[in-house]
Amino acid sequence: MKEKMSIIISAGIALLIIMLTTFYILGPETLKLSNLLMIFIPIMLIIGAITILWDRIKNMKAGLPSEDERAKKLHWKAGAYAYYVTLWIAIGTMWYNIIFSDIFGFPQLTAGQVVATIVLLSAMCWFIFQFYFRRQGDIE
Amino acid sequence: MRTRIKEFRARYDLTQEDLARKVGVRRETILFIEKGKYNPSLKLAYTIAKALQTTIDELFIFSEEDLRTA
Repeated sequence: MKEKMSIIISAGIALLIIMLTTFYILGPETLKLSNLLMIFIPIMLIIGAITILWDRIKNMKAGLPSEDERAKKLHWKAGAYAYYVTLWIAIGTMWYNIIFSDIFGFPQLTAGQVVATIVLLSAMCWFIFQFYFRRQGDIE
Repeated sequence: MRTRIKEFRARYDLTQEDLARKVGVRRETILFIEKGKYNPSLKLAYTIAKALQTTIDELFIFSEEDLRTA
């Protein structure tokens, strides 16, 4: 069942990437990659949220708690790691504007884009860390 | 850390899910404790030992190396 679910999720993500790439290549010239990322990341977050919810419901149906001490510990650890990564992302966006934009002439990131990137990527990092730690069993 | 949870479960004919239900944790937590990948809290270790009608030191076996790296 777990394998089946992971195959469905992987296939869904692959399909999404193919669709977005096709849309980007064949779409109007005004469409930018950053716009697609702003669609792609929230969809990934929704998939992550559904996976967590599905896992909780499955446990509750089996008469098991949806959260226990290990799950809580991993939530907090994933949050802490995501926070550190978010700080680096924030620094990265600043350096992008200084190095790539000012020196190499890449388009400048607006404040709105920076905030959206930080918020979405930090949430995504939290999901990824949580998924990784759950597979590992524990984190010291 | 090595555990004898699997051995005690077999003694009482309990599945991981049964034990998880008895002690109020998720099944994966029991799985990772059995594999020695997760160190439970003292409270959980005590609850598991009680559910399996044994003691913590009977259930969890620490080697000298475990104590050094802890």
